[in-house]
Amino acid sequence: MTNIEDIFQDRIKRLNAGESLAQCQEGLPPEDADLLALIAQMQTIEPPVRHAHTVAQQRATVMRLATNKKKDSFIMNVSNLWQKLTAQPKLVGGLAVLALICFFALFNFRGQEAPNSTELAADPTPPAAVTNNTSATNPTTNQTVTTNDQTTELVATLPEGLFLPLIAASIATNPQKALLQNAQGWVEVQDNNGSWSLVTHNSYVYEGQTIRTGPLSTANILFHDGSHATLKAQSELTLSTLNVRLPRDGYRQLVLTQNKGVTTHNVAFRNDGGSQYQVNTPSGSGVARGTEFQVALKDNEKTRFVVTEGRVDVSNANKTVSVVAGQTTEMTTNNPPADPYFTITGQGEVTAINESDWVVAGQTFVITDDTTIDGDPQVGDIVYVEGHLLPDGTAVADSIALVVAPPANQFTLTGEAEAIDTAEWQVAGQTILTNADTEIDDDIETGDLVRVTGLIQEDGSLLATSIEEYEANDTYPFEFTGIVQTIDTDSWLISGVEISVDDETEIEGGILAGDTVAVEGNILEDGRWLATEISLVEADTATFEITGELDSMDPWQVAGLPFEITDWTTYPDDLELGELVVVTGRILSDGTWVADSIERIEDGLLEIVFVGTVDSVDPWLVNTLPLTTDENSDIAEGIEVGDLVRVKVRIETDGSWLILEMTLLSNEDEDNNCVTITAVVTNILNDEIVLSNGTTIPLDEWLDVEGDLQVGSVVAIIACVNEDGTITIERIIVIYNPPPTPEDPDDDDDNPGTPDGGTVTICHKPGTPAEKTMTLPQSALNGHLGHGDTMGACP
Amino acid sequence: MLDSDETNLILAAKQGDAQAIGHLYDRYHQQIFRFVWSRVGNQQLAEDITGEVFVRMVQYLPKYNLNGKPFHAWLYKISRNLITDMYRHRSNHSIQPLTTTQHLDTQKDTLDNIVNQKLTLETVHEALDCIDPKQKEALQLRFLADLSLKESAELMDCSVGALKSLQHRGLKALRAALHATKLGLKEIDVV
Repeated sequence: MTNIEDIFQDRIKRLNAGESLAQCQEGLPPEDADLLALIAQMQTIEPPVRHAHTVAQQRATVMRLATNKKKDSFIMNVSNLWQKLTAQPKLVGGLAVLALICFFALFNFRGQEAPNSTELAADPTPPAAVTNNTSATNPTTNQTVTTNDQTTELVATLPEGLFLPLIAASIATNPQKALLQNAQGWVEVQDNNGSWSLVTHNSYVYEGQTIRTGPLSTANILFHDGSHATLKAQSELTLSTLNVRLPRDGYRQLVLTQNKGVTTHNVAFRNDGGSQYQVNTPSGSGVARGTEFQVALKDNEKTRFVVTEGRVDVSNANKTVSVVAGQTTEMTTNNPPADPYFTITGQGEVTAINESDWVVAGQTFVITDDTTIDGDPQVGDIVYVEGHLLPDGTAVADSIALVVAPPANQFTLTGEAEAIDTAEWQVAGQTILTNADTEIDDDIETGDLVRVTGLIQEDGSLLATSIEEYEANDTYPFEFTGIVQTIDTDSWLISGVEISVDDETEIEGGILAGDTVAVEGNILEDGRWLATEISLVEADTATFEITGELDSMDPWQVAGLPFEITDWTTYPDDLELGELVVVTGRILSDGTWVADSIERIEDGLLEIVFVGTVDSVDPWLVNTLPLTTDENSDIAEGIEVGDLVRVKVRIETDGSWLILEMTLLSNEDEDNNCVTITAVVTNILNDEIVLSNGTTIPLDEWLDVEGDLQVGSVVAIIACVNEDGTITIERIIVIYNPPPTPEDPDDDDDNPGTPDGGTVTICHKPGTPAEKTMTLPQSALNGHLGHGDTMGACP
Repeated sequence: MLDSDETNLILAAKQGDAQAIGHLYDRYHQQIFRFVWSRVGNQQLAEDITGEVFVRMVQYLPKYNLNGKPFHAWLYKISRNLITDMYRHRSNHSIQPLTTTQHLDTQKDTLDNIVNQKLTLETVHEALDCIDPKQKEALQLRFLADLSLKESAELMDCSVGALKSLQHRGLKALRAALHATKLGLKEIDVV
C-alpha cells in the first residue's frame, strides 16, 4: 500500500468482508474514517425483497418470448422492429416510469355495446319498483326491464391496515343521501314512481333509486364517507341499500346492484370489520375486498372484476378466488370465477394485424370477440393496448385504442397580424409563410389578433398550416362533440356543459335531446360558452378543443371543464394555474373527456427548441445565430465553444432570440478522441441507417439515438476513435426533422414510393386478399417493410 | 471470463432454448434488480425495468458476443441504457413500454418498515441528486448495487483508477449533501 487511496480501498474491501467498522477505521485519517462510516451506512440499505409471484411472472414471460422467437421466424422481423423502436427514445421513451404510472392507473375495461334487451336484476330485497319508461329521444331505448332471481352479491369490505383513506371529508351528504355529480352526457335517475328524469346538475340520490348513463356519458356517485362509484357509458346502477355511516357513527351499509355496463369503485378505508361495500350483479356471486376495482357486466351474464388496488376475493358456484391488484377474473352465471390473471398494458407500433391476433411492439395479442378496438388502427400506427395473460402465458387483448401522436416541429404563435401578403405574413414580429394548403380565416385584416399554427421548416422559416382570427383576453375558442341533454331558447346543455346560443348561432335543423352534436364557439369573459355553430355528427367523431385558463391540475380543469389526462397526453412540465392553454382531446366511448395535448398560449411569443454547436460564448452564438440572455436564462455550466447544445429560445417581439434554457449534449473537450459530425439520413433499414455520403451506421442496442429518427433527419453523430484505431459511434442526435410534405393531389399514383422526407407509397400485404396501395408517413415505413410490404404502389 | 457452464447456458440461450433463458434469468435477476433499484430507488419501477431488461436480453442474445463483455456486464449495460432512457424521457408522456403490471401484497410489510425504508432511501437519493452525476453513479454502483470496482469501471467506461477517484470525491460530496439535507437546505455548493 503506497498511497492513502489504496489503503482506503483496502478498508472498503475489509468492511465488505465482514470486519467491524471500528476495525476498518483504525489508523485512517478522520475524514476517511467518516467516509468509511458513510459507506457502512449506505450498505445497510438493503433492496426490497422481490415477491415470488413477480419473479415467476417475469421468468415465464422471458421463457415464453424465447419460445415464440424460436418457433416463429416472423418474430425475427418483430425483433428487428423492437430494436428499431428501442433505438428511438421518442417511441419507447419514458419506459418503465410510465409503466409505473400505468401500474397505478385505473385499468379501463372499455364499455361494451349495449345489448338490445337488458334485464334489470333485483336484489333479494329489491329496490323500488322499476319500470321501463324510456322517452323517444333517450339513447338507451329498447330496454326490457324485468327482475331476475339469480342476482347475487359481491361484497367489498376492507381488510384492516391495508389502505389509506381515499377521501377523508364528507360534503353535504348524509348516510342515507349520496351526491350524483360530474354527470356528463345523458344521465338519468329513476324516481320511486318508476319514471326517469334527466340529470343536468349535481343532485342527491337516495336508496332505491337507479342511475343510468347513455352513450358518451358518465356520472359519479359520492357517498357520505368519501367512497365513490363511477358509471361509465351505457351503464346502470341501483342504490339497493344506502346507509353510509361515518366510522364514529357506526358501520357503512352500502349495497349497489349493477344492471349493466361498467362501473368503477373507490372505497374509503374502514377498519371496523362490520362495514361493507357491496355490489350486486346478475351473474355470479362473491365477496370482494379492495379500495379500487372495476365491475364490468356484459350481456347480463358475464361479469369481470378488475382490481387496481388491494385485493378482491371473488366467489361463485362454491369457488372463491383471491384477486390482487393488477389482476382480473371473470365469471358467468352459475359458473365459478376463472383463476385470476395479470393484466398487461402498454403502447407501441402495430406491426401485424391477423385474423386472430395482433402484434404490437413485438408482443402478440390474441383477439377475441370481447376485444374492443377503438379508432380503426392500422399497421404502422401507435396503439394503446390493455389485455390479460392467460395461465399459459398467452396475451389476450381486451382493448386496443389508436393513439394519435402529435406532430413534431410544430409551432403556435398568437399575436397581431402586422402585415398580410399572399405568401408571407408578419405576425408579432415574425415572418410567417403561407402556401395553398394554409387554412386562413376570412376577413382577417392588418391589426387583428391571430393565432398561427404551423411547421418549422428546415431553414428555420415558419410555414403556417392555419391562421385563425383570435379574440384576445375576452373570448377563447372552443369546440367539442357531445350529447345534447336539454334544449332551451337561449341555452343548451351538452355533455354537462351549459352552452349559450344567440341569434348568430348557426344550428342545424332537427337536433333533438340525445343527439350527438359538434359545437363550436367562444368562452366569453363572463365564463359563458357561446356557440357559433351546432351541428349533428356521428358519435364516433367525438373530439374537443378548448382554450381557456387552467383552473386546476388535480383534477385537470380548463375554463370550468374537467377532463382527464393519460400517459400519452403531452403538456409542458412547468404549467401553472391561471395560464392560458389550448386543450385538444377526445371524448371516449365511456364518456370520459381525455386530453391528447395541452399547450400553453403565450401571446406574441414564440418558443423554439433546436440543437446546434456553440460558436461563441458571451455573446452567445449557436449555429451562427446570435442569442440573448436575461436573468431567467437557464444555461448549463461548463458550456464552451464547440460543444453541442440543445437550446430553447423565445423569439421576442423585437426579433431577438432569448435563451430560456441551454443544455449540454456533448462536450468535445471531455474526450479529445471524439468528434461530432452532422449528416442527413437518406434511408432507414431494419437495423441500420444510411447517410447522405453513403455511410451506413448499424442500429444496435449500444447506440444511443436521441430524437425521432426519420429519412431526411439532420443528425449530429458523435463518433469516437478507440485505442485500437477503430471508430465507435457513441450517439446520434436528431437535430432537425423535415416537416411532412403535404400530399399532392396531382401526383400520379403509379409512381413508385420513394423516400421524400414526408410520405411514401407502399404496397400493403402484396399477394394477399388484403393487398392495397397505401401512402404512409416515413416514420411508419419500417414497420410495413418489416412484415413484407413492398415499396411502390401495388401492381 | 465465462465459466464453461455459463458459456453453455448462453450458447443454448442464443439458440432460443427457453430453459436456458430461464436459468439465465434465475442466475441474474436478483443482481439486475438490485442494480436497477439502486439507480431508481423505487421497487415497482425497478421490477418493471428488470422485467424489460430480460425481455431485451432474449431479443438481443443472438447478437451477444461470447468473446466480448462478460455476460453480467452486458446485462448491466442493457439495464443502464433502459434507466438512462427512462430519465431522459420521463417528462415526454409520449409512450410506455409493454409491461406486465403486478402489484405488491402490502400486507406482508408493516407500514413502519415501508416508511422507514423509504425515508432512508429517499434521503440517500435526495442527497445523491445534489452531487455530480458521475460521482453519483459511481456510488450507486459500488455501495447500493454492490458491484466491484472493476465491474463499476467497466460499466462506466472508465479506468479503475478513475472510478476510485470518482468514488472518493463522490463520498465527500455525498457527506456534504446529506449534511445539507439534514439542515433542510435546498441547494448546496459541494466542493
